[in-house]
Amino acid sequence: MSPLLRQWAQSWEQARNLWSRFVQLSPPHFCETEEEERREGLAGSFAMIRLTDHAVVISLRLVQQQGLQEFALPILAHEIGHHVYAPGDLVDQARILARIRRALPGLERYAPMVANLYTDLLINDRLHREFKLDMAAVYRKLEEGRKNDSSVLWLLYLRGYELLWNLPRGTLCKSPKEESFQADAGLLTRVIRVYARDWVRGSARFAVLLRPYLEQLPADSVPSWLDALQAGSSELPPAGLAEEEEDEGDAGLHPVEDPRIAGTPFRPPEGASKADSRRPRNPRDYTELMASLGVRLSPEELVARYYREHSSPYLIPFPVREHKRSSDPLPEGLDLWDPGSPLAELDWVESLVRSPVVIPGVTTVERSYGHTEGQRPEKLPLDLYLGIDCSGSMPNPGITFSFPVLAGAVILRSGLRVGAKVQVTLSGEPGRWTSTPGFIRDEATALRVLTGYLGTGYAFGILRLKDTFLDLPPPKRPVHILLITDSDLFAMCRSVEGGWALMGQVLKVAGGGGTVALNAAPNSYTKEVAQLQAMGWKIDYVPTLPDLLSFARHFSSMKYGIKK
Amino acid sequence: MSLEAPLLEQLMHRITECPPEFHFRLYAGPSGHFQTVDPAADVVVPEAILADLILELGGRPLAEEEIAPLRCRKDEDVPKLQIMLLAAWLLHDPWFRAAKRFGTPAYVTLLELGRDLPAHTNAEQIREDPERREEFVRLCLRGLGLVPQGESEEHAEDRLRSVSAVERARIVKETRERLQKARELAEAMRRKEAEEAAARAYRE
Repeated sequence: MSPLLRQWAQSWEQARNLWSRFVQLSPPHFCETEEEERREGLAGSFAMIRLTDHAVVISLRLVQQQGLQEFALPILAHEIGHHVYAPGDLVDQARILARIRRALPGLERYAPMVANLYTDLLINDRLHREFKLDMAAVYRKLEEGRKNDSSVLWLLYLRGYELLWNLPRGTLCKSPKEESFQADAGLLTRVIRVYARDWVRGSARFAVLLRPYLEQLPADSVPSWLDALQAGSSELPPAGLAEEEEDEGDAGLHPVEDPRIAGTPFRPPEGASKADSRRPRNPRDYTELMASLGVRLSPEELVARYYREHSSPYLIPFPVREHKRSSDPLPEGLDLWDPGSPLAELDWVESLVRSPVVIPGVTTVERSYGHTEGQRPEKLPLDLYLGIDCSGSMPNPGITFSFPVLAGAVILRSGLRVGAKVQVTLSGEPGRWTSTPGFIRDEATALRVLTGYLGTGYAFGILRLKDTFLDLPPPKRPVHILLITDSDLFAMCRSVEGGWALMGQVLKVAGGGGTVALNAAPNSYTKEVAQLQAMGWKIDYVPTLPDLLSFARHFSSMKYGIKK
Repeated sequence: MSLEAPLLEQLMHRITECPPEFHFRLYAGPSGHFQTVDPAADVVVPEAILADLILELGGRPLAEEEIAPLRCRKDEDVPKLQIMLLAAWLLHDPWFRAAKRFGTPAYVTLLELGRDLPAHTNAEQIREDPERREEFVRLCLRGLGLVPQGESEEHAEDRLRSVSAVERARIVKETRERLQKARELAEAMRRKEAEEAAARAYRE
């Protein structure tokens, strides 16, 4: 063990005890070679934190290169501060990023850096004032080693420390004497002090104050100590961010317009943004927010997560049908086992007989059973065929909030929860369509298909129903067909040869009934509706798209395909 | 050339120890003297407290025309009176009294504090808010030609500017005006662009 490593390792406990004896953090990962840094993902700074696994990573190589050997305690205490104070966890990191992004329209790319500078200021001010650590000495050392000229943003940041800690001007940097610069530095210190406890809210004020400095930031200007840029790098987005919080609406307010900072009451100018109540975050904002947090998922996967989160509060008791319970199960054959099914149902022997290379969902099978009729009733869920009109008239769920997709997600997840299998088909025809590979239990795959977008054609293509129910062997369990569409469905029934008859045939084969959630004014298209009703279809008018959510809630109270 | 006073922290701490008699709620009594809400307390005669302070700081007895500006007679004067009483408590620190040479500057400082500060802050805020407390101590020291121990004159002046409520009010006012102008400019540009687009569409 090198003397430097020993010295820094020994300072860890002291640094942790500064915050609290009860802080539980694993010791830092000290990297002594570039190879180790690469393995830890450390680049561009001598230290970094990861909120996903609560790690602190220090490059002792760069510490030595920058002459920071003697600052083990302040640097380690600072890194711990990111874990126990600001941002503390992934959700709060995302919350401040959401506010900062909103405060910096057009400059969102700087949000992670601004969040890093802001939390650094909060932590360092506390370390300096409460724990009496000489944080200024670290920055003096960093400034000594700087090769390029400092940006005005960096000067403002350092001048902020001078004011916060009552250091003579010029201690950390040669800041411009312009009155507006000095005024902004004064406001910066007010933001840090006023919002030291409510720091999530203060992040937007900080970002607005920095905006003019970011606009003139040279492309190659990078602060020396950026340790939380990749703090949220993971494959799991934090929950709770699909909705905006109440105060996000006033994120564009300048600190002088904030009574807590200005110290005087202020009436915002007309037209200025006001605080809104909680409302869905725009899906595109959500995916961009997750990307800036470092979540390594594709935009499509993020959109699926977004609707999954929105649907959670609305999950419903899914319709079931009562059967006479079997007294003795009879093995009948093999069905495809997909990764959404319980692992206990996987028939390993038969799967390996089929293929020595196991590919979940492809070569894996489960045994299906028939039953002799018994006396006690058993409740079985209906499988669900969810067909969604994804033509040009429907909104892209990845860009604007889509009620059809939300309603679909609620019903689909409710079904999966009670053991149903689902098939999701998006169709915008004539044009394109996409579907899950048959009836599946894999929620992620089903949601990914549901939240996709086609934007072609004018209606749901009813031939997709034929593909599933008439061209393939009839389903083993009763299936309920749910179509979310508008009145263009009727035009499609007319344009397809034998279209109306097809609608009746598929309903019979499905065996679990069918519902059309029709986006149309109540009691309109009476002739066409009557025709479908005569076949056994249930028609629910949803005059506006938000009504689809109410429809989803009432879905559970309906009885499907039960013969009277 | 300013001289070094005690440590800033020491003086700021003294403010927090200000006895309750100095921060009772006051109102103007029938005799023109100020009453407190505490019936057990004596009436407060501010000009007497302040004149005694000037004497203890090495000044001469105040003449009647010098006492007149320290006199308060109306309830509206209460914030000014409470700020001057708080300054009197601060300057009654043994260090200032032992120097025996701050009588005249203290008199001027009391008048300035009573004139300038009530528009931006009050005695309660000075006691409670560390930033206001620091500003108050620094204003008192500057009035006496002093700087906190360990600080240069330039540093002390720089720091006072950064914590000053008066200065902050000015900055806030100027920044708001700047923002307002920028918004008006953006709005004018947006309007002009819309007009140009409309004209273009009409021509086409």
